[in-house]
Amino acid sequence: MFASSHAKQSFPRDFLSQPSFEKMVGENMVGVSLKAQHYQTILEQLPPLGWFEVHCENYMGAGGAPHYYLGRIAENYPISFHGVGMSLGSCQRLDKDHLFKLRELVDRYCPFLVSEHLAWCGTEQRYLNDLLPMPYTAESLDVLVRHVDEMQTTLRRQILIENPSSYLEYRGQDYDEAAFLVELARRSGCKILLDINNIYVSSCNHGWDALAYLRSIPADIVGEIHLAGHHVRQWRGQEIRIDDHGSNVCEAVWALFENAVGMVGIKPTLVEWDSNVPSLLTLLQEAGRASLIMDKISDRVGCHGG
Amino acid sequence: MADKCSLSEAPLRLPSLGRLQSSFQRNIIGHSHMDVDDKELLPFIIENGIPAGERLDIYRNNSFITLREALKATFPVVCQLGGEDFFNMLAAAYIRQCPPAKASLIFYGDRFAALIDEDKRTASIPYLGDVARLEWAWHCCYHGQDDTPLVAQDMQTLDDTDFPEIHFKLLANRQWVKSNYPVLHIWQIHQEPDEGMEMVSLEEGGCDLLVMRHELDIQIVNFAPDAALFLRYLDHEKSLADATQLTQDAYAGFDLQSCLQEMLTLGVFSQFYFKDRRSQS
Repeated sequence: MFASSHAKQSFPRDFLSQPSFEKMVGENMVGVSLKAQHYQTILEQLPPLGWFEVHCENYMGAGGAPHYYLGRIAENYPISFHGVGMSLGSCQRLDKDHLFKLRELVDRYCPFLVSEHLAWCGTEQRYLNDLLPMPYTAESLDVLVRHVDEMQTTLRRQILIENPSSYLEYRGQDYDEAAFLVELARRSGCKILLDINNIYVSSCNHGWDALAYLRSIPADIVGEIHLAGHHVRQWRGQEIRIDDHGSNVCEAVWALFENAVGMVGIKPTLVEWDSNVPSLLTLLQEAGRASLIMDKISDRVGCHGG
Repeated sequence: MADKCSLSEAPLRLPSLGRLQSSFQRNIIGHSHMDVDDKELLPFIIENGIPAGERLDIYRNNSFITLREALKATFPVVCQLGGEDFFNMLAAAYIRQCPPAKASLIFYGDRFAALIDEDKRTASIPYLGDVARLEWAWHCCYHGQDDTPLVAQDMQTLDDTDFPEIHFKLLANRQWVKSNYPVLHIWQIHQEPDEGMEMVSLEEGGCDLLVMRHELDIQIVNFAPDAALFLRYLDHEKSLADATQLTQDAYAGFDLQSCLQEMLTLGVFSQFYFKDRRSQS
């Protein structure tokens, strides 16, 4: 049933080279999540942001306001598609209907990035609307390589895969998360969306070394960086960090971001905010802080692009 | 801890991915997380100070909260009418009975009104299911296909002799909601919840509503019974002459001229056509 460990690319490697980020994004490499609350303000003010990212699942309806606004915003900014529902890690087949809807959206809006998650969202035709943790085994890797390959072939382009936040780890795994991601990228030809907040959250929750995680990711396979807020919960006297994209990026994540930029270089970077959505001004301030850090690092090392 | 795992402290082999995911999913939306079956997964989760079952609880919690919030965003008036706690209880029942079948939550909630009707705990709010129907119709219309309404000028080329055989297509994203309760009035007074409490008398009776959208503007039209019946006949592909006759059989005083004028002013049609000739606007 499973793809062999050297799954073939079923499309030419040319498909993997996308127009350069610099060309599409210009000088400003920092974007923010596009939320419906901000549609009108964005069109009125055209704020100085490099790009916007959307959850493509929110645009799978036939028409109406979501498409109207996305269309107008896409005339003014590069757009990135971030999927949360492809369930690439599910042992069952991908939902073709979902995949074809995504292809239609990609054809219509021509996003400069398309990303998904290292996770599964449900099985047996059920979707739990959450990014559920994968066991990092050889079997999981085969499944993911096969599904990433199918998604890239259908979309005729390279995708990026994001490291998730997690609240549990399985016993008896074959890989740690970073090694699993690198191997997935090597075998499928995808890139990595490095979520700094998720690295921090998972590292705190499982006692990983966040810097060692960053060091094991080769700079050239990172195509995008995410920043977001999370909250800390007490679970019977024990601290656990929950990723909710509902607050400012915390100081520890800013520090880790600075380290990451030093290691992987300047990449398109997103400030994500999905719950308790604040004013657009707050997002602009967070984006500004990300830009400052990127400027500081590029001045220091003289690195441009990755 | 489960008996099984305390017996074997030896290295464990993870179950196949399929088995692991089925067991995980049962833990999240299974009938009860105390099911014996559900414990299969627990020995494979590293506890590190937090019991495996409680680590799964975090995922269950996240999943239920995001699905519940999605339902709340689609059914805000149902939530106001029943109260937050009551809504959360209905949402939890719905998530267990009808977990999403699609990854895009735009399509989630189509059976919520039916669940509300079936749930005995909603008996004291008999109109709640129909309010949910209206909110679902509004939601479908919001995301539905864009369409352009037909206007009177589009029909100027027609001869009087064409009219009896003319057929109309209604807007692609229209939704019908029929209720024995004044759900439109109930829905309207909950659009501005801070405006003070206006009472709606259930004596006002039912309504037959058409929800439609022109560009971004969603309208809910409450038709008189004869006009609603006429429009429903047209929507079922009856010709103008047949729809008029059938409506007049039920409502002798039905006035075609003023009704058709009203429909065109409201913009409920997207095009006209002739069945045999297949010509259209």
